[in-house]
Amino acid sequence: MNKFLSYVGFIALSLSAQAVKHPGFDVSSIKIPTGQDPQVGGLDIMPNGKIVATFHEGDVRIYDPETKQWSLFASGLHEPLGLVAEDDHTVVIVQRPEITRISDTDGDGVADSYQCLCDDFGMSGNYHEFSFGPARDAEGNFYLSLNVASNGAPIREEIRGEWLELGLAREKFMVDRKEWGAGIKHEAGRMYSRVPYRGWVVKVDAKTGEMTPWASGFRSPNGLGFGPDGELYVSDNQGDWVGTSKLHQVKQGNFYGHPASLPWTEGYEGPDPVKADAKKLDEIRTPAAVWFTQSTMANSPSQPITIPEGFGEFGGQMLIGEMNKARIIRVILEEVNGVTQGACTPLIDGHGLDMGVNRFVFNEKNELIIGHEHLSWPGGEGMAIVSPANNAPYQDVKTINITADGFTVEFLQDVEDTAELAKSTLVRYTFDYHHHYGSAQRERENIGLTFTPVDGSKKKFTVSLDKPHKEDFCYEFNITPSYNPLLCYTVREIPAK
Amino acid sequence: MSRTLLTLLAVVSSASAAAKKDQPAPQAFETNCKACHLTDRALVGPHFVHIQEHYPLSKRSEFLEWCRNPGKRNPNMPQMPSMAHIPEAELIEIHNYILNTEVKRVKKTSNKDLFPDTKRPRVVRSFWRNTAPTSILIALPTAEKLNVVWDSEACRLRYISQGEADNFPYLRSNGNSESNPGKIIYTENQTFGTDAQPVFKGYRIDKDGFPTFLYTIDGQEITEQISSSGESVVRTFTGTTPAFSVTAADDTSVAVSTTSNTITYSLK
Repeated sequence: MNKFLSYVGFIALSLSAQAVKHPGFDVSSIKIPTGQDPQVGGLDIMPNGKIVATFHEGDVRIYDPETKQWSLFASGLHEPLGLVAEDDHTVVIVQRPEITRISDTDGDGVADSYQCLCDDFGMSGNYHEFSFGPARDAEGNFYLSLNVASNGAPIREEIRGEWLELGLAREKFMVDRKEWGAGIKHEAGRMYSRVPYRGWVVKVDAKTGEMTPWASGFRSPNGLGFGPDGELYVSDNQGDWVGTSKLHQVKQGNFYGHPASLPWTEGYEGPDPVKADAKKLDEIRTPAAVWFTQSTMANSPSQPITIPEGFGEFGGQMLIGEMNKARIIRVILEEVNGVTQGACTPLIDGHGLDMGVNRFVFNEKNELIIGHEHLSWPGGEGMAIVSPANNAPYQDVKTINITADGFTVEFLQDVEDTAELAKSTLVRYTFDYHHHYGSAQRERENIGLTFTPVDGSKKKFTVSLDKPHKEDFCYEFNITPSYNPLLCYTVREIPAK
Repeated sequence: MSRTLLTLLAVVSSASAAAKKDQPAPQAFETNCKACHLTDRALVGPHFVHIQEHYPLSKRSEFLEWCRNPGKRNPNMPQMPSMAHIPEAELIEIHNYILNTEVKRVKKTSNKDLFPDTKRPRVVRSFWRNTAPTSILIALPTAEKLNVVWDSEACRLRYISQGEADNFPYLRSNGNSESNPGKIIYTENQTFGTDAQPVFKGYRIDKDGFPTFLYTIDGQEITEQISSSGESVVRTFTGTTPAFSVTAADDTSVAVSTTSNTITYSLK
């Protein structure tokens, strides 16, 4: 204990002078122009290598990494929260009311065309109806996610789109805020979707702008990206019906758990989502590929991105941002019995990073560009770069796979001190699926574990457990030799022997 | 043990990033308060100056009571969750820390854009007052600071306002408050004379910064430029419907004149 305390004391002292450097990655910042609210909602790199970003105030700016100069490309947008560069003169952004293609058609460096690509979804005027995305698939088409409304506020008098005539009447949503807060809000459902496709991921054709409702059941899906398997991944935030934050592999037609969005399913004849039965919903929902344990791993995960070869030894894995901590999380996926599931572990944790890790893009040098945001919630501001440094090798879990009765773990470096490795611990727990906000860790129990080298390897070990596997449990490891000892594996499927 | 260490690492490093010169923040502040309370400006919750004014040392017990059983004071801010889980000694430590942190009094920024951009013309989409949530404000380069608010769903002018438009109420509240377009001096009803709904296609911005909106009705393409000429607001159309007409909604100080393809609005 004393040794531990003095270690912390030492770290605290050195940190007060300057943040601890990560052994494998350098964190530095990009200066945002003075006068610009430095909250980044969208980020991409143009074919010419310039960085393009959207900001909270509605601006799109281009940054030249060579000259370190910014220029204003477009402005006047309504809370843009994502962007894709189509070429050196064209970006596609998602803002509250629409997905918009913005182009500089006369080559003067400033946008002159704002084409509404698609606005075929509803707006009640509730502040919580953010629009996120786009993620672009291999064919160039776009995926957006549409946040549900929050009962923290009612709706506005004028709305866009059809009003859902199911449950609490529209007039009840239009009372003044005092009356709303005094009681009506509790009848609305904590999060509500009373105009079309709130709580959905939708697909938009890049040429025609035609919209296809893609998948339902989302709450606050602030992050879309394609995985190494070519599949769409979308994160969602802990809250009602979401026991802990999570990452979904998203397929057309699936329902991912939050019922507010369900009535916009074609031919829906079910109940008012406020009265939804968790047991029935549990039968039709697709569970998450990865859980992010609240407080321990992440409170508000953001954009997932696939890691290119050359970013450490993690090419082909994924990263995801976290708003409430100065943390970037690494996600390691695998397919078991046809189901994608996997692990998450911090990659950068502090190390000079700000909180509010919201948007990612990799440049040609395999550096990760980061846009920070908070939107008045916990988070951060500005932009940063994480570069794979040529520093001393460090120890971490490179990859983990589930086996019929345990796991196999591969480390980045040889594990010389197996006595230290043997001190690793494992606990598992699950989360409730219910209309309440969040979930405690349920059925929490410690699991004994034994590491055995695979074929005499110092890097690769089988991990055997003193209890059989359980499906739908989060396994939280503390792997002692790792620089980032925390690693959680979400078990959905157990492979056969 | 190592998990605790990890948490401590994260906390300590974020503290150093924002380290103030005076005193280190107590651990309980870092864990429970810092994400929402900054020293010098409002974030999720009020800043230190505000708390110092509200809860001086003489109001220690009120501070403790508020932490344990918080209410909602500011309609634009979320209610603080209860801090009843923090032991009293640590709450006192937090209170002392807030009181002893020297903060330069910041100029009040309410009703002012944090980074004002008064350039005219300019086009700003936001939740503007008294119109649809899909509306666009066009601030025009007139001495009288005239603005047009145009609804991208109905594809029509909703009103003309006068004065500096202020988008900060939206920005500081994430859209929970409506932005202020200035004083509304003219409100209009418009009909295309057909049951067909217009379909918004976007807009172009010309070299002078004036927008031309693009939309269709029954497949017919329409363009509508919003600009100013002297102290007048001018809408210039191509390809609109034969039965198109506008009427002022109320008594107004604005005179409206039309030609075959323009509508001009002038202060009387």
